[in-house]
Amino acid sequence: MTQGKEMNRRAFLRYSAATGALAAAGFAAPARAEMYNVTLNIMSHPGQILPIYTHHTDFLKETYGITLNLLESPDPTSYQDSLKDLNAGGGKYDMVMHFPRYNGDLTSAGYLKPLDELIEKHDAGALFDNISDAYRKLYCEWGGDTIAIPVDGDVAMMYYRKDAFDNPEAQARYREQFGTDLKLPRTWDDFKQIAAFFTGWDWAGSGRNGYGFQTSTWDRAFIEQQWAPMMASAGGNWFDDECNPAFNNAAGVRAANDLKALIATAPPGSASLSWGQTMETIFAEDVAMSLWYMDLGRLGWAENSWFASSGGPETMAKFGYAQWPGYEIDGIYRNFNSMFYGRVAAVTNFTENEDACMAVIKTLLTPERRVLSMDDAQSGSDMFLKTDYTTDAFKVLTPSQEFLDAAKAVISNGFPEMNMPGTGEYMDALQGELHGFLTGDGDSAEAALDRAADRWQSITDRYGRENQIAAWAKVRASYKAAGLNIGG
Amino acid sequence: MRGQKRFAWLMAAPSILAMVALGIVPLVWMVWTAFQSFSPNPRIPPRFSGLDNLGNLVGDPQFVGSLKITILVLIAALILQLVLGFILALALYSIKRARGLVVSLILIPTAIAPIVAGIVWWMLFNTRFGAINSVLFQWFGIDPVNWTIEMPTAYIAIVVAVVWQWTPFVAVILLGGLTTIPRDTLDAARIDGATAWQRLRYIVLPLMRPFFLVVGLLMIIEIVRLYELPFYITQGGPGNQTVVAGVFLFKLAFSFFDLGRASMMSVFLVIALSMIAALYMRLVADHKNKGASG
Repeated sequence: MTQGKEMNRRAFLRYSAATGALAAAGFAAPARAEMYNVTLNIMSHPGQILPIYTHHTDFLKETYGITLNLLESPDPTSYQDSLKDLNAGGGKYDMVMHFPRYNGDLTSAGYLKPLDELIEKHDAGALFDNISDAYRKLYCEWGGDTIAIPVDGDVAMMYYRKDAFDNPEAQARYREQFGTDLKLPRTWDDFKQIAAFFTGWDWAGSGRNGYGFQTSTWDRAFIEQQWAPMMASAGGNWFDDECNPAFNNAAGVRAANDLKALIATAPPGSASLSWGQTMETIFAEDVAMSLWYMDLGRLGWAENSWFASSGGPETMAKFGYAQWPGYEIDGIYRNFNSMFYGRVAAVTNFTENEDACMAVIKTLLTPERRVLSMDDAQSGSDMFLKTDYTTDAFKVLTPSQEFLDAAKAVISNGFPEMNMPGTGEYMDALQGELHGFLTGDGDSAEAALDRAADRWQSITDRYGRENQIAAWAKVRASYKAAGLNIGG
Repeated sequence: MRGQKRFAWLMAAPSILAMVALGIVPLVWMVWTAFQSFSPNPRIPPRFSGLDNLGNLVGDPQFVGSLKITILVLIAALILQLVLGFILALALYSIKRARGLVVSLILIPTAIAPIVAGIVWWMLFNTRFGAINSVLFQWFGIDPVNWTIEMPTAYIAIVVAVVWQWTPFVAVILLGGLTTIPRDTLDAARIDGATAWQRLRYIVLPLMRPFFLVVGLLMIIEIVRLYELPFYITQGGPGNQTVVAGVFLFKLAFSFFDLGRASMMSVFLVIALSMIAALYMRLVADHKNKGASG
């Protein structure tokens, strides 16, 4: 308890110092802001993502004379709307939102405006420096140019049931069965063993059998977000330097086989669940370890969040937080977390209101403004600013500092989305084969990944191998800049 | 006479122009783009690529797979729609009172937007939360079936949804056909001692051929361009095994923004559809009965 208080006090001081420094640098609500008196057409993902903007509509109107015309576009297809706009000559949107995986497509096609000059003109460097380094290097830049800002810092972490790991009976049974102590898994081999151990008996005392594992979803469209970080932890990558697939190898096969083994320890029917239904299952069943996004730890405690109807606060008290396990290969230990499906916003090259767009960006990145959409039980915007990872940043929600510390570590060590031209097609080819392997029972991981790799070669050739090699070099440079030790 | 002709052309001109603008021009443009290579970047102009798009499609297992599954869905769904639709039409025909109301009610599935129907069926077929598994378990003790993520259940799920949505439409068209059959003919056959089966086989079905032809063609077109139902029910899975032609075409055009391959596939589908339609017409249309069916 004392320790917690000290942590809070320290965190508070850090938060105060950081926001104070940013305010001193002139990025708090401006006293005399330029009035633009324009309406900006802003494309946004719908539903729980809208609060990212709606929290600022009045502020922007009053402070800058900017009216936001929010145009909703479904998450998976918003980049298609951007490309449609581009192909139609542009001008429909001033700002757009997309998953970072489409940065390469949209930037290479000339749709996104490089922001560096605007950042300098509007003296916004400190706000950008406050973005988590990993998100800034991996998802906000393309070829060294800043082309986007994060608006949702989705990364998946490991949630585990403390009552499972602290259970004396479970500890005794585990020691008896494996000759070692029951503790949080360091490797995926440990994870598999523990997941299997917790499957099929009533370790929670709820009168029903528990399960070992659940992930965010097995939905075909999201299936790579679980496998890819495991593949990278095993020493693989999307491509090698010559843009040949670098996943149809021992690393990719090991990850796929391990993932398939883990499915057997998940609640029945898990392979057909949607994003929301997996969460209902985690709450409805006793699942010892789950791999899920930040939303759970951020707002799972709130009585009115979308988790509340599934179980919410009572179950939240049982959760602990950790990074994903990894693999130790040839003495190198890697444990990447899944850094998929965050969101970024960008200014289009066709806007005639770039300065007004920059005012919006500054608002979205100013800590005391940004926190409004993060500190909202109805919002899907997770942490991405360096100043977000302290309980003092929250006034409404009550995430624990333990969770925020884990979240901060997780975002610094995430395996990112591929993020280069053609990502949609590359991922489609991979998703199909992975889904077929994980839900089927006849094919080998080798065969499935080889087929995906063959398609990737053909896609690379169609996009132009030289172009793709150059694009991949940019992506690899961003890995290096973010300090990620990715092999392949 | 010449003045009359000119007037007739003048009157027809708006329709002809509209047809050319909305039908012929896009078709010609589609054929042109089928032989071009497009970049998602509009600043890079398309270049003539000959048959590269076709070669690329044929080499893509997803394209070949999409044709296979589309044909499988077409065969099963069409047969079921026509058989069940006809049975439903006969049942409706026998209703003497409030038939209009009943017809309106059974048309509800057809009136529902396919995207909504897809979501509803996905929920019904859900392994863990779906009503179908719940009923199977509670009534028959059957363990949960992974409807949407295994074969052949994913295929069955799509066929069931397609049949559910379009059979009422088929039934209503066939009901229209039944009402055109002269009552006297059926009565005369009955008086002559024809059994119900004989009246159906030798009078009703021959006279219904044009209706089967029309509704069958409409259903073939509908099934070949199927998109929303399979997209939402299975998302193309397991793997790519239920990526039907419409879903793959959508991916090419709007997920990969490859207009060249999308157009080539469209051209391919138009040709394939024409051939399937011709085959169907040959199977259904009986020239000997043309006179009888009017």
